[in-house]
Amino acid sequence: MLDRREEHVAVGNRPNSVQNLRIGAKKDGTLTAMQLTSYGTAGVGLGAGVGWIAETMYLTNPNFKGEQYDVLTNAGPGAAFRAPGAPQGAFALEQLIDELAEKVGVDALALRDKIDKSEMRREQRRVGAERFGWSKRQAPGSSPGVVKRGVGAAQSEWGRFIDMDSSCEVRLHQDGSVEIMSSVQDLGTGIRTVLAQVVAEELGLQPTDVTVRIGDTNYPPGPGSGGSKTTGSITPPARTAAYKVGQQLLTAVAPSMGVAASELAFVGGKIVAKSNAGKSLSFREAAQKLPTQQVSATEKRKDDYGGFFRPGVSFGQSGGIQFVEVSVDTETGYVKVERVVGAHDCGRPINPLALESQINGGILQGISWALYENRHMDRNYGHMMNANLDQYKILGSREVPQIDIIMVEEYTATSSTDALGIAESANVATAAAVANAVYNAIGVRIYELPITPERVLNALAKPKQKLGKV
Amino acid sequence: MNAFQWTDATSVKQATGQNTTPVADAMLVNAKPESATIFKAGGVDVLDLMKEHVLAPARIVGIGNLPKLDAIRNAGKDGTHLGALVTLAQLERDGDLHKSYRALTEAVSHAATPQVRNAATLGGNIMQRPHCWYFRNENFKCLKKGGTVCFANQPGAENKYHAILGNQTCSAVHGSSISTALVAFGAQVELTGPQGVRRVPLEQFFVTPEKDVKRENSIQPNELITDVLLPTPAAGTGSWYIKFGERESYDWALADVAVVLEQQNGRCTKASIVLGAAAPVPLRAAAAEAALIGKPINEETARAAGQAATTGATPLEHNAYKVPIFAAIVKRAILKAGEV
Repeated sequence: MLDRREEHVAVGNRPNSVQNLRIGAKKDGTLTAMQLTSYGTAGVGLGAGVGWIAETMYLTNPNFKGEQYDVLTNAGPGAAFRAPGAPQGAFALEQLIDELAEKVGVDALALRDKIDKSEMRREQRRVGAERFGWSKRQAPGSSPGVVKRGVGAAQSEWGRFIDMDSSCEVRLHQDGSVEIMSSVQDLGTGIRTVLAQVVAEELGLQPTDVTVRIGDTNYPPGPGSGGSKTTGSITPPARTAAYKVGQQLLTAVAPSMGVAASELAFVGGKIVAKSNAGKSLSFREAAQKLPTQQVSATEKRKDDYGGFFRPGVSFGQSGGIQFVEVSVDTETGYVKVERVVGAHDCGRPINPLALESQINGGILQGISWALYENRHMDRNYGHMMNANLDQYKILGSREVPQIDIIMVEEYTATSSTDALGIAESANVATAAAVANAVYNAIGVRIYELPITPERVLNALAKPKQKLGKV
Repeated sequence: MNAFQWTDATSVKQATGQNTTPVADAMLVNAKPESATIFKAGGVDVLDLMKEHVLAPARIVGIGNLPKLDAIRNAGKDGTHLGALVTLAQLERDGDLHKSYRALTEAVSHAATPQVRNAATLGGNIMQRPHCWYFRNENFKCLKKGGTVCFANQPGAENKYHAILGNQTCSAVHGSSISTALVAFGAQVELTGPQGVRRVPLEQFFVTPEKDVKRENSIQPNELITDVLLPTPAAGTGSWYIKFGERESYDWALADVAVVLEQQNGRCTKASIVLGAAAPVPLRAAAAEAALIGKPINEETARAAGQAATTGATPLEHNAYKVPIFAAIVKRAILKAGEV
C-alpha cells in the first residue's frame, strides 16, 4: 500500500503536452487542412499519445499532417488518467475550432454542423444547445461588470473499445436462485448492478434476485477496466448466458405445462404461456422441475453482429458535447464554473442513474483539471513540491456546478445489449469547454492549464492577440 | 511517523513543568529528536508535520483536556477572553463574537474544513508552522530547519504561493489566517510558563525572519498560550475579512485581509488593515491605513487604500499576480467594513 506522497511521485501522471495546431479553412468554414505537432511526456516511457483527437474529430478535413513526439523525462511515468491523450488534444483543437468560427463569422455550433460528419454529434449539439440556452450567448468580452459571465462548448470523442476475452457463467439452481460469475471488477462504475439488470431482464426477474460474483480469478475471465470497455464487453455474454440458461429451464418445464418451450416466456417472475396468460408457473416452482441441481451456461464476447468494422455503424466513436457557463472575476482572476450541460451517447443506456453519475464524475474531474490540478516540480532539484492532497488541488464540494445530463440513445444492433462505456468520453471535452467559456467571458484566450487566477490576471494584463488569417 | 511517548497533562502547572520545546526548535536539523518534548492540543498541524517526517518528537504532552481553557468569556469593558483551547468551531458559532468581531468569525469560518475546525484550537492555529512546501518537504533543509538556503527564493524555484513583502530572507507566508483578524483587533496573547504569566500584543508575538528565521513567534521553552484577549471595539467600529484562494473548498489563502475601521461623522478615524499570505508574519498595511484616515469610506478611497496595501512589494518569480489580488480584496473588505 502506497502512501499519498508515493502515489504522486511513483505511480504516474497524465502526460503533460504542448500542442501546436494550425488549421486552414475557406471563408465559409469548410476545412482545407490541419497540421499538428504535439509533444507529450510519459516520463521515461513512450506513448504519451496526446495527438490523435485533431486527426479524428472532424473527418471532413481533407488534408491532415501530424507529428507526435514523445519527450523523455526523469519526472515519473505517464499513467492512464481518464481518456489518455484525449483531453489534451481536445483542449487544443476545440479552442481552435472556436477561434475559426469567430474568424469566419459563424456560430461555433453552426461551424461544427458544417465540418462534423457525425449525425449523433449533430443531434447532441441541437438538444444540448436548446437545454443550455446557447442562443442567448453574447459576444466575447461583452459581459458587463467586474465579474463577467461567459459560455462555451466543446466536443468529445472516444473510441469504441471491446475486449474479446470477456466471459461469464450464469447458473440457475433448483431453489430458484440465479448467479452470474465473472472475474470482471467494479472500479466504482456499477458493473455489478448492470450485470444483475441484464440477467434479471432476460429471466423476467428483478435485479435483486440475481447474485453477482465478480473480482475473483476463479471465475471466467473478464475484461480489464480500461478504455471504457467494461460494459460493452461483458454485458453481451451475460445476456447470452442468461438466455441459454433460460432456454434450459423452459425446456425442463414445457412438458408439465403442456406447451412447447418456444411458446413460453419469462414475465414478471413467472413463466407464462404466450398464448394463454392464465397458464403460468412461478420462477421458483419452475426451477424445482430442473432435472439437475443446477444448470449453467458460460459465454464469451463475440464479434459484433456483422463484424467490428461496419463503416459508420459499429466502429464508430462515442462522445458528446458539453456546454459550460463560467464566471470570471476580472480583479482577482478567479474562475468559477456555474453550470454544465452535457449531451452524450454510449449506445443503449442500461442504468441511467449510474450513467449520469459517470458523466457527472467525468465533468467534475474535467473541471478539476481545467482549473486546479497541477504538479509542481522544482526545476532545481527535481522534487515534486505538492505530493499531497493539501497542495495538489482537486475540485471540492463547493466547486461543483449545476450539471444537467442528456443521454442521446443510439441503437445500432451491434451486440445483444448494444451497450457501450461512458467514463472516458465524459471527461474529454470539459477543459476545452471551460476554456472557451472563459474566452467568451473576458475576450482573452488562455492556452495553458490549469486556468488559475495567476494565468487569468496575466492574460488580462497582456495586449489582445489577433486571430490568424483564414 | 516515529514512535513517541504520550502524556496527558491535567493542569497548566503540570504541563509547563514537562521540559517542553517549541515545535520550531524540535524541527531544527541539529535538534535531538530523541530528547524533544512538545505540546499538542488539537494536533492538526503537529500530525501533518509528523506525517511528512519533518517533526519527530520523543514525547508529546497532550494539553487538549486542560481545564478552563476552552471557554469564551466576555469581560465587559476589558474585552473578550478566548481560551487557548477554544476550537475554531466554537469561535465560528459564537453569536457575540459574530456581532462585535465580524472579521474574526469570517476568518474562522473560512479556515480549513468543518472537520478540522471541530478539532483545531485557537492556540494551535496561532502556533501552526508555515505551509511553504520546501519547509514541509523532508528533502529540503531550509533556513527554518537550520539549513543555509531559502529554496523558495532561489532562481527557478516554485514560489507562486509565497510572500511578496518582507521576503528577502525567507518567503514562507504565515499559516494562520485567523491571526490577521486577531492582529487587526489588537489582540493580546497570554503566555504561561514556569516563571508565571506574560501578556504580549499578538502583533509583537510574531517574529520576522530577519529577527529569527527559525521561528515565527517568540514563545519560549515550557511556555503555553493560555488566553487571547480581544479589546472591546469602540462604538462605530466595523470589520470585515476576505480570504482569497484558488478554491472555495478547503484551501490556503493566496491572499487574505482583515479590516477594522472606526468612523465618526462620516470619516474614518482609525483603521487597522492586516494582510495574510503576504509576508512571513500577519502584516499591518500601514500605507493603506494611512490612506483612509480622515477620509470617508467609499469606492474611491477604498481603491486607493487597496493600491497602497502592497506598497514596497518585492514579488518573486511566480507571485507578482498577488499584488492586484490584494488590491482587489483590500478594497472590497474596506467597503464591507465601512458599511457599519
